[in-house]
Amino acid sequence: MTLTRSEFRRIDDYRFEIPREGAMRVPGVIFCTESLLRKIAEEKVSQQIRNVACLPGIVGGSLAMPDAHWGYGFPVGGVAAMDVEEGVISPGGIGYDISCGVRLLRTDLTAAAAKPRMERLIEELYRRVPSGVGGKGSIRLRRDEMKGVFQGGARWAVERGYGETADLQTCEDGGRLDGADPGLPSERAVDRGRDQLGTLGSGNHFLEAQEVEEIFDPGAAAAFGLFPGQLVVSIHTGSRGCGYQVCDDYLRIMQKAVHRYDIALPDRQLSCAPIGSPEGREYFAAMCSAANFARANRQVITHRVREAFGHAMGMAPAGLGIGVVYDVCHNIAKMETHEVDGRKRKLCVHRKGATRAFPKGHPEVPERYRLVGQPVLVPGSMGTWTYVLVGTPEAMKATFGTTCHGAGRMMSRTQAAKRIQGQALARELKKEGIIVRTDSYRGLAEEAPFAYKDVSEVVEACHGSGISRKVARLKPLGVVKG
Amino acid sequence: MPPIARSFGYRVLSHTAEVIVEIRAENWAEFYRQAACALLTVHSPRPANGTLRKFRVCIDAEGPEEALVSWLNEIIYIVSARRCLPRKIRIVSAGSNFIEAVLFGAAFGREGGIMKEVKAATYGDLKVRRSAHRIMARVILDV
Repeated sequence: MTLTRSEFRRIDDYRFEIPREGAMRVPGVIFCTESLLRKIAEEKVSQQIRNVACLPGIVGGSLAMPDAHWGYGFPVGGVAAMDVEEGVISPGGIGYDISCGVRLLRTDLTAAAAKPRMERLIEELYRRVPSGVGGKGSIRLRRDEMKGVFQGGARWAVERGYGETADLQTCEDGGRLDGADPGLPSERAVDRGRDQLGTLGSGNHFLEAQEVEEIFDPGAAAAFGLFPGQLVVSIHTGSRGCGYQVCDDYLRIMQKAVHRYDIALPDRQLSCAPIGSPEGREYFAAMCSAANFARANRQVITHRVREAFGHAMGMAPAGLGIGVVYDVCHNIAKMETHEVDGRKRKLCVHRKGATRAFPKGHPEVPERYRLVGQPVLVPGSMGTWTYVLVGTPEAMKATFGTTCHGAGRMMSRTQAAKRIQGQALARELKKEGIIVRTDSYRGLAEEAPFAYKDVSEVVEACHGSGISRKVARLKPLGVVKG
Repeated sequence: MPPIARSFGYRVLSHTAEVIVEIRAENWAEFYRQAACALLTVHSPRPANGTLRKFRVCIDAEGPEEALVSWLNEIIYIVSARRCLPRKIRIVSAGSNFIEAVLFGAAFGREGGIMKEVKAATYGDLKVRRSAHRIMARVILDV
């Protein structure tokens, strides 16, 4: 059932429809340019969009963001909103790395002033934030402490001295998702997470020192505390082994639920249960627990970043003005109210590799940003830009308040590693003024910039379609690579 | 798609964002052993040294697909939570929907042993096919 490009119907310059047919309950809609569509069409993404469109209770459309690429079950960059009464919740619609996300930290420093100490800073960050596959954190939690993390998220970390109360004010959900049941993640999930708090992990996760290179929207940038030439830090990581295990545990439960509730599925990875069923409610509460682990993880890393800055810059961290611009996740299901066909409906919005992008005035946007809109953090590949965007009213109408999450991979890891060796890539990046520190040069090569789509093209598609608006562009100065 | 690694009983292929493992064997015990070997190749090209620890694994599933995914995820758990890289795999008994095995693995640290983190074996596009003389499967690993 693979579609050809002719089977996409152009709606406008930035939207292409996969018409409803067969078991599809809604059409598919891809938000992208013609050029991005070509890349998306090369994979089986359109088939996955169609499969998601078959799920019970799906509303509006099976959506794909401009950075969409093939996933397992749901495409990465996929968005599906389900009616809470009639719809299903699917762990595959969130992914294994539950609440994987990005946190942006601002500083009072300029990149120019920090440049002489940049090598030292990256070394300190590398030393204090374990990365790579075998990386263990310095915190090892008991089962009861893990329950505290599952319940409290970033707040748990701040209460234990890992950060400041002000950090929470500009985190999505205040750094903690309601709805967690800390008793639900399995012993295995606890085992896999107990020594991973404050660690980056591997793959495309990173910690990056960046310079605010260009401001597109001075008003929004000022509200976010960003200015040209400023030194900022991006953290990209998630719930680590804990989240992977929660996803795996519940996929197994959902396989049985599919039979119990007689749900016809085109792909087993889409296994699901009605949102209101015991299985559905349990998964949501376990997912919230893992999401809170991810938020605590980024909070502990924030604390380590402050320590690293203090040592590298030879100043007390408090004097460096390090604060959270925003913390947003891109793998999650959330209960939200949206207007569909003129009436408000409570929906379970699945975002897998897609970022929430709420507009100004929305009650879930932190008070500090309510006149501007929610910051959206879109990291590019290593060596290219990260973008700060802002949510829009158009996103609420078209994508259930959602935009892209990154550049989107287009080359396999093996292909990338064949094209360049890690050491050579590190040297190339150094010539461009980017310092790299990693445990694995092989892993570095696999994440080479050319393995990803052009993040600027993805961002332009979001800006052009109106599902988010550009605020600032950040240039990398130094990277700790997972 | 050229394979990253192959042996008589498996091939490891690199997909855009994930890794695909193809397995073939003449019986169930060999099938699960080959699947484990393929997974361990993705984790690390070389075995971890050190004192061996023993892990007993028992899986009872509803069918071969669930058995295969559960088996691989069991090994991923040993690597991730127990921080041990299995070196020897003894299949005690196996069938289309069950496995009883003993694994012996050595601990690894930050500096060596593991090349790639595998998050999970997935059900996406999962296929297990049986003919009179062969069992074949294709499973996607999320890395």
